[in-house]
Amino acid sequence: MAGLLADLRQVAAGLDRRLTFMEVCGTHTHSVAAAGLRRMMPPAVRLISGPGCPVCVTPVEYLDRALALANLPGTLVCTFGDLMRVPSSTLTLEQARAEGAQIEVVYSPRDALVIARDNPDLRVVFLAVGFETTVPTITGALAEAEADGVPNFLLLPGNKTMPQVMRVLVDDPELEVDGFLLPGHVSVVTGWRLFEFLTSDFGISGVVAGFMPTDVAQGVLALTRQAAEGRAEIENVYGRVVSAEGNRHARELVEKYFEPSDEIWRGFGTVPGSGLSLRPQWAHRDASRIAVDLPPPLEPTGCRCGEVLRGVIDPPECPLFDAGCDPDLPVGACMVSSEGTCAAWYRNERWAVERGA
Amino acid sequence: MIPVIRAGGRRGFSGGFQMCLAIPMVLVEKDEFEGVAEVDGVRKKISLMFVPEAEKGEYVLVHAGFAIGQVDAEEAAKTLELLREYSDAMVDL
Amino acid sequence: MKGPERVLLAHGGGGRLTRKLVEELFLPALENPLLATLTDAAVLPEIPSGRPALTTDAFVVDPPVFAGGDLGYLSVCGTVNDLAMVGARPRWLTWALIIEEGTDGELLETCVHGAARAAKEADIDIVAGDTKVVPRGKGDRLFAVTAGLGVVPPGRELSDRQIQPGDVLLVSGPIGDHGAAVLAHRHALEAPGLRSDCAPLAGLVEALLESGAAVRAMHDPTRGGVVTVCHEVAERCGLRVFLDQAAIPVRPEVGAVCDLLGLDPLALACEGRVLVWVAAEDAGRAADAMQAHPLGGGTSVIGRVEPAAVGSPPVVLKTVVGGERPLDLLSGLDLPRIC
Repeated sequence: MAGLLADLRQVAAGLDRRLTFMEVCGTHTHSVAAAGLRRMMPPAVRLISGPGCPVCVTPVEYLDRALALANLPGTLVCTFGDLMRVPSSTLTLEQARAEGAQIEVVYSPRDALVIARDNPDLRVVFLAVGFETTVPTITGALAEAEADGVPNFLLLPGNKTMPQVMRVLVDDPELEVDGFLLPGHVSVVTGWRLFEFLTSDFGISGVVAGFMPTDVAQGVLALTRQAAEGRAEIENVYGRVVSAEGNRHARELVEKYFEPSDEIWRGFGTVPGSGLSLRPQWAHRDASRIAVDLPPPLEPTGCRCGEVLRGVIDPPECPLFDAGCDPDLPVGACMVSSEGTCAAWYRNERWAVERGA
Repeated sequence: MIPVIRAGGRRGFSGGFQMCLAIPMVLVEKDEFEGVAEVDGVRKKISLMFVPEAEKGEYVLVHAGFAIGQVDAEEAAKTLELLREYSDAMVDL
Repeated sequence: MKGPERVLLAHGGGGRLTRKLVEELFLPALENPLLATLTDAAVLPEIPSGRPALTTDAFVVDPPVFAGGDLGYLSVCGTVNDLAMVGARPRWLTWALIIEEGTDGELLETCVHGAARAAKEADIDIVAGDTKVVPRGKGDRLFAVTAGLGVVPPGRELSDRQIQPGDVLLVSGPIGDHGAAVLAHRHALEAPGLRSDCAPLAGLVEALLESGAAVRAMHDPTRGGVVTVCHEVAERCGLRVFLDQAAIPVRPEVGAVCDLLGLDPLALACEGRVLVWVAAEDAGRAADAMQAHPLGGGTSVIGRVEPAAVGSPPVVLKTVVGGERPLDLLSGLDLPRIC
């Protein structure tokens, strides 16, 4: 690690400007924070976070719909734990559960399928949130439900894909980015070719990296080298699991069940083609077709999650940061998720750590 | 035996489910599209539907109960070599 | 020592079935003369000189039987350990059960025998008990509530207020075993090498205190793990705790369970480990005394205490890659019913 950082410092020393690299994966946000990496970067290299936290970019409308479904008789909503504390227009899922709504936390979509099998009289709705890494696992569970004839397993589609929102980021005049640290596990599924548009259409570099501190450091080093050498390429330093084409089996299955749709991203509004909705022939698996009463969508006042997610401001620039919004009492989604930029900043960056005597 | 690279023995996450959390594990049992994978003495049933060509003894990347990819032995060895050159990562063999 | 095949509401009714349960299961298992009097309250003999210490605990662990223990064994260990942490010698426990109607009799027996075993190991007596049965669906198999009474010998003073900058932090063994064992069970992860570390610590604590090392305070990292204890201590004494991630012992299986579930070993419960704050010059003596005890074989120095500094977090982690970062308290961590 020390060697990687030394190389990084050396390359950065030769630069004539400050570089900004954006990561777009919540797990990268988390790894950087957990290893204390941001502070280890040379002054010329700045790491910022983008909309890489799928929970954080899930719009309030989605949560409202999930809540409404959880309050329907005979319906059980299953979700990844991180969604439990995301604010909706009214209650969080956690609060709703305490008030009697039927909600269960699961670690895998397969767990939700097991619940559906074991409870044939219950309509089980899995909150399908997550990026390309998670989509195959959700699709896999759905395919199993189809193959085994488990009719009471449904999805509330909310999955999103990365490239479209990255285009929006690059087009944003407020954002200046020299390169992207590309999501390692998304790339396992999609292949790194998915990101070639960055160089071909925008001349921006991208490096696919893993999640160990050494992986991230390798990624940043490669990005910095590219900048120093005036290159803009897609590089892969996570070759042990990432290939150019990715996982064909996974992509084919996802293709079978899902089609691109326009999706709302918190902070971005509608990003065309960035969502995945169930194809019409799977309507019987689609919980978004169930009629529910929804409140008018309400975003918390003063919350600047949107700008944080777009990489335009750092969390402390939000007036609510650590002044009414913290991980215990989060106002915005960025503070809720352990991968959220605000949560990561709150936990790791808001302090000045002094070395002990 | 593929060297599984870990920069430090523990990941030190601070709680919560990480959406892209995927762990390299060795496939110890296989029955068509279902299998059992193991890491550090912990075994888990996983689906092999996305990596049907994985064989027992090979390393797969596991996420939310599914193997989503395989670990390329040659690439892993290359990264290992690189880290050895920097000679400061901790490595499990 | 036989119990019923299935627990019925009547077993908690106070009548014949209750009596049968007490006489055929509890009394023989927990054998001691005070309990056998079956009076409304146990009248204790003269308490040895020193200050009495009293604690209470509730146990709702799910599943009630896990690798390395059961709710019964855990409930006694947990109570005994609370007393040991303040330097008290545990003597007497009360044990009340709230059982769901329909609970399998074997489960009840396992927990009663577990409690009996722990009582023997800890050299304490369970002198009073109670059994209530709630209708099916109004509980979840078995819950236990305890109270524990011990005595702090004269001249022994343990308190967070004594902790000073320069003090060293020791842990008696690998962390997170209990939490990981329970979670592995819940999430269908098979780990034959993983067992709860659940154990009564009074013996280890006595060995440590008898060594003469200047121990300031002790805490067992149960719910919330090491990170929660460190935060509480840092806040209570207005100092900073620095932890060295590389020095913290974690079993590979625990690490793997944490990796698979996205958790930090520092956040997982231990039920048979003690965190010891000791004067730096006595750290060696303390570690030796602990290592010599069967429950302290994995004793390690994991941190130190520093003065507070404005703008600095109360708990700092030196990561394995050499960075330093705040170790924040984990909000909303959804790990119910670990103990």
